[in-house]
Amino acid sequence: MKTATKTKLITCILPQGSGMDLVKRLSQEQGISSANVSAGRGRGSGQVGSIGAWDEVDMLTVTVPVEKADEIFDFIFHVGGLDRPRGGIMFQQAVSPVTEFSLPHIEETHSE
Amino acid sequence: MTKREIIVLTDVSLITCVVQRGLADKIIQAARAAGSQGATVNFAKGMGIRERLGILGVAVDVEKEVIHVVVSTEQQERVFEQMYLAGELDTPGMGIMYLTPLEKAATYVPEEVLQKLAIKADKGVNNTAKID
Repeated sequence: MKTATKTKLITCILPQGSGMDLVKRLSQEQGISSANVSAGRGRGSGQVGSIGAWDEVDMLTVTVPVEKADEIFDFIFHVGGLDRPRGGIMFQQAVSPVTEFSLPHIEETHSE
Repeated sequence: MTKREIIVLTDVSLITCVVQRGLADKIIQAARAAGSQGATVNFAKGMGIRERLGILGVAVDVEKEVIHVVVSTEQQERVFEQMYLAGELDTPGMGIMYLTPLEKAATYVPEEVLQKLAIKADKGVNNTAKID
């Protein structure tokens, strides 16, 4: 079993629909080959009352090597729009051990 | 080019609570009353004591709600306790709850909150981690 010990888990709560776009950009721009998006509901500090107080959210989880953690954390923060009101929240924690998963390099083919 | 900065919150923890479906709202209400700012819920299926209760296991729902609440370490004990009491987690089969320390968190912080923190920092109060 191949495992990594110096790994961080980044979890990000985003508005519904933005999770998969972020996974795509993480793959294309940061070389992340594995990330998960699940659905949920969330409420933030600004929402009061019970009607319409909940928002549909995407929960993105991604494990990253410790040396790239800060860079990817900042990337997700800005690209995911977390610097805007009602943009969501993200956090990072240490996890160990983590199974390593790397894809072989395959050239993308575009069908006409 | 516009300057982009990131406000990193430290000294924060994540409370995760797994309960039967339908109970999350009551627990989140208790968490908010204890000072937490927000919460996220997602659905799951779980097994545990239900399988050991035999015929009485039908009283425990298979479908679960998983609650995630990010709190400052200052608040964590109070919020954890209130969530525990609201969820009646001292009753077998009601659910499980745990606290995970986080290295850092980030979200949008309104300007007036930043100004308030800056004033406190000037006075020598370390409040960079406070999210309440």
